[in-house]
Amino acid sequence: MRFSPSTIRRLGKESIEIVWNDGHKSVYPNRYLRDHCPCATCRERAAHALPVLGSGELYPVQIGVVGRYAISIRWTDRHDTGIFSYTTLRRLCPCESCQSGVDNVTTA
Amino acid sequence: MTTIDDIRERLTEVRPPGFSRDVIAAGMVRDIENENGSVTIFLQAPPMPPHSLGATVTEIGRAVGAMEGVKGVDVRLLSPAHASRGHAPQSGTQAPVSEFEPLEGVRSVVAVASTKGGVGKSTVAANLALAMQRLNQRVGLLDADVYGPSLPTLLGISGRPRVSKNKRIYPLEKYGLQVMSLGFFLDDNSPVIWRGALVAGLVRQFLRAVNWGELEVLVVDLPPGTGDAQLTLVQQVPLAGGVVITTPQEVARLDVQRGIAMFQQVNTTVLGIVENMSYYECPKCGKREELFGSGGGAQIAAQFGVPLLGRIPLIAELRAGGDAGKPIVAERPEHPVSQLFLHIAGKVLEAVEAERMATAPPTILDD
Repeated sequence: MRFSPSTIRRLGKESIEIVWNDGHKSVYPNRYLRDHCPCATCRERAAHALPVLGSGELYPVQIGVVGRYAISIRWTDRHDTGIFSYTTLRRLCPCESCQSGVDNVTTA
Repeated sequence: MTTIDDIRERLTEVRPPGFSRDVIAAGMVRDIENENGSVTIFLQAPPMPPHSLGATVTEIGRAVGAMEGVKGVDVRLLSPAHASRGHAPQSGTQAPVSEFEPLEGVRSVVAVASTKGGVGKSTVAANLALAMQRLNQRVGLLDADVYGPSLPTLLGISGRPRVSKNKRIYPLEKYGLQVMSLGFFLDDNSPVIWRGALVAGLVRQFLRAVNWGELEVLVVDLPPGTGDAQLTLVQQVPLAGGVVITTPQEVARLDVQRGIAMFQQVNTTVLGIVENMSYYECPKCGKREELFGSGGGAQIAAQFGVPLLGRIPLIAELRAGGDAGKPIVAERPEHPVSQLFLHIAGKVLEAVEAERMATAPPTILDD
């Protein structure tokens, strides 16, 4: 099946929660997602980027849907060029079972 | 001569049943046009019972129809505006992070793509749109092939589309299809030498600023490739899916794989594959010649698990109809190839409906 989020929820200023269409729940700390911004600029300088905003200061101002495949986030640091595809987000899910490689992403 | 203002004035006398304000005061009249006495009124109605809406439309027709110099009144209903964008209000004057939103009044958008050039994509798109229309759909056809807009030729349309005062562009109509193409704005031999950003801008404008009216299906004829036009389309509007055109030979198959992979990467369903120029049937002896090899379409369909919607033969009538601006489905609906297009159109419409049922955008919530 194709993964797509059923709901995307901002949990205060700490994190974003996604409930997927297969029922899986992912909770992404804001800093973690921001650090994984897939846009070209961020990937270029990822190696030597310094966090400008402390925790609690960095959170999404706006979340928008991009086509049928991604979301785009405007952060409090005004960065908004990252397009987080559903595939990327699912891969980034920090939960133990996803990260331990007990792969629940493979069902065709 | 009756002016738009006169019509507007007259409409202040029309009040929907149960409403305290007239249709003008209630903001229901979005646009009025008067072309030599043929009046078109675009109405955007708030929620109300169907019989009240019907009574309002009848009353508008009666009131305006009785005015001097008015020969006919066409009241068109626009679908309700999308009340909420599903995300938090933006701060200040910043643009929203995403422009993704359904097209007002358009039920489904279907992309026709090929990745490889010269496979007859526009010919198939035009005939497919005409076939859908014969299946009682209101259909629009958007030529997104910026560099080589060929739909004006294929459909035999020329002329400049009208642009209203509030910058809405009105599509040209042919065979009942609403058609928009960059070709309408160009001289025959002026090349379009554009960078990607302009291409994206044009596709956005053709989607948003064109007055498509009420359509069941908008068919988008994409340029070959996997570039700006394609990406803009999928980022702007929810697509019901893509129809991929190929020819049977190996070189087409390789390209078309990329096209299918593109749709899959952006979570857009490939509704099916149409194999064009599948074979040549000798009009004298009836012998089939498979000029470009055989089975290419079926092979890709099997490889990606998508349906092969049909195989269209290479016939002179189809080519000649296109060059003469008389597409075969419109001019010779009884022809076996036209029947084939009708069959394919039926399958596409079925798949579109299934897709509509299956997909909903995510809800974005605040804690």
